[in-house]
Amino acid sequence: MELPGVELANGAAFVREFAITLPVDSEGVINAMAERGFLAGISLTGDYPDLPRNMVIAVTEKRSRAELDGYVTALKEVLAHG
Amino acid sequence: MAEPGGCASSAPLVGGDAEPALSEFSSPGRRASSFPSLDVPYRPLELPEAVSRVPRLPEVAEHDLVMHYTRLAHRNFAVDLGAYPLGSCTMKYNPKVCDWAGAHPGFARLHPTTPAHLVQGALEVLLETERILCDLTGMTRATFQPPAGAAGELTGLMIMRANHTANGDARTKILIPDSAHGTNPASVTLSGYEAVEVPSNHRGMVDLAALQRALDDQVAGLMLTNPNTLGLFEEEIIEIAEAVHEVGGLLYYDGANLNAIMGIARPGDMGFDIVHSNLHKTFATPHGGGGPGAGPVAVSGNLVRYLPGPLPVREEGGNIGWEMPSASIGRVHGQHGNFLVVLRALVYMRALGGEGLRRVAERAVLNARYLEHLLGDRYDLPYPSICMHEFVTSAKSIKHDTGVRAMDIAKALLDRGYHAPTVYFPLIVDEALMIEPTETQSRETIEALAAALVEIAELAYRDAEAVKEAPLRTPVHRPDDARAARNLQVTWAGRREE
Repeated sequence: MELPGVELANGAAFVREFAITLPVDSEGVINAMAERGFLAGISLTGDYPDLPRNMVIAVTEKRSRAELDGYVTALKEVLAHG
Repeated sequence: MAEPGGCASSAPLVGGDAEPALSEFSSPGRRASSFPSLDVPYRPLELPEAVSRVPRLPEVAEHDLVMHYTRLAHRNFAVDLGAYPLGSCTMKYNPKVCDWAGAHPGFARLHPTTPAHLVQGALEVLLETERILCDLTGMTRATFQPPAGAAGELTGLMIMRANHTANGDARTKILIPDSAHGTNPASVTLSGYEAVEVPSNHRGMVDLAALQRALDDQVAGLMLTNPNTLGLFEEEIIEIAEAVHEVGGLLYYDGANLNAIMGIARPGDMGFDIVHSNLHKTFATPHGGGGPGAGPVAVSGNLVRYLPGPLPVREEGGNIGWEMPSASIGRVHGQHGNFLVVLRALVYMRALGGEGLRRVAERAVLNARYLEHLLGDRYDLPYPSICMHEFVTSAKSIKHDTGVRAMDIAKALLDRGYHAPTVYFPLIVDEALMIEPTETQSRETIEALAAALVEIAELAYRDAEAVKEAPLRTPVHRPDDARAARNLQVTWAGRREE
């Protein structure tokens, strides 16, 4: 499932977590995702004020495929509704 | 290779073989846990070979793992096993309700970067604990970031420096009594100040005249514990505070001995400006194994602006958010400190209530005084003033008469089922035995501990060698501390053949 406007923040190999760039500010996305039951990731804004649209995601080994798919569906909704 | 299950004694506290290293139980393919099955497409890691390796870890079953660590745990003396009169460490019993709260998944599984509006309960815990702590110490606001007492000291000194610097007043010295904890001069040096020692008088308290001679416009502040490290209440604290403030210095309260005065007297009322508390000691978190602890720093009114941040603040409408103090010295710890230790402290405070906290202090002092009384004249009492929650006695005469030292007495106590007191500290007492029974030992235990100490003193005169050989009943006897420190080996290189 592709998410329009969402990209990996860099193309390098990643291991346990990865950073994405969103089409909008990450803090608003995190709050909207929380309303849908997901703590979606860590906003980088606090540590890097010039990266307001970046977010770090760590899914761990504990999340099932259904949960991961649910996350993507929720993020798609959040981005679609601005 | 040892069999899984181990060759250690089934009664490890009374001896037995050395516990094998975990790697000695290893059997290829054995596992302690199983991962959920993979339900996403498999993609191998694409890492350069140079940085990828397969770690050689012990392969054991969960039961092997649990037995191994449980056996090791049983070779440790612990507050839950017996009396632990380790002076200045406040080794009190930690109520199990605090374990329950600290393990509650609603708190234990929180992530520290969760947006504030989703963790209002945790922020309420921080605000409420801060309120009670400030009430107990007479301060205005507190930070929970410092993870230990010494970290609190450094934070307090940085706040002192920020305050003096803001006043255009670059000071260079911090005064410390000669009975102080070793962490005090270490924190002073680390913070860039010069530590200047103030002698104790013949009663074991700060020598006021000597303090006044040491005070000048280069003194940034004084660090003091009260009761002090000899377990004595600094009776001239008001005069001390006035003298330090007179030259523009600040007073730092080292909360190591807060257990003695909690709910009875407040450092703020004595004139202290900055107070650290050891939540792990006074408010019931197991400590002594390296943490986690919490050494919150509380300050009086005009110093609040320098506190590390962010601090939780109640916003209009009742929600709690985060705010950085206006002239903050910055962060002194990642995130918000050891939150679960703060939570445990709050549960302890609320379970006991104000009256209960006061009774803790009263009984801690009563127990120490009773134990000191029971020892009679079997040990020297270098400072005969009446003690607070702990007292410092000395084996100086015993050593002179029999050759038995404070360390031998401490070891002999282990054989009798008690943890040793703190020995050779404070440094101003020869052959020091520093004893703090805490409020959580029963009268019967205190009487039995006293009887053991008296019996050891008598044995020293009758059969000094028997005391010097101790301990004989513990899993290990007298490890070579000096060699262990000078020839430190922290990796396992295989069992040495005999």
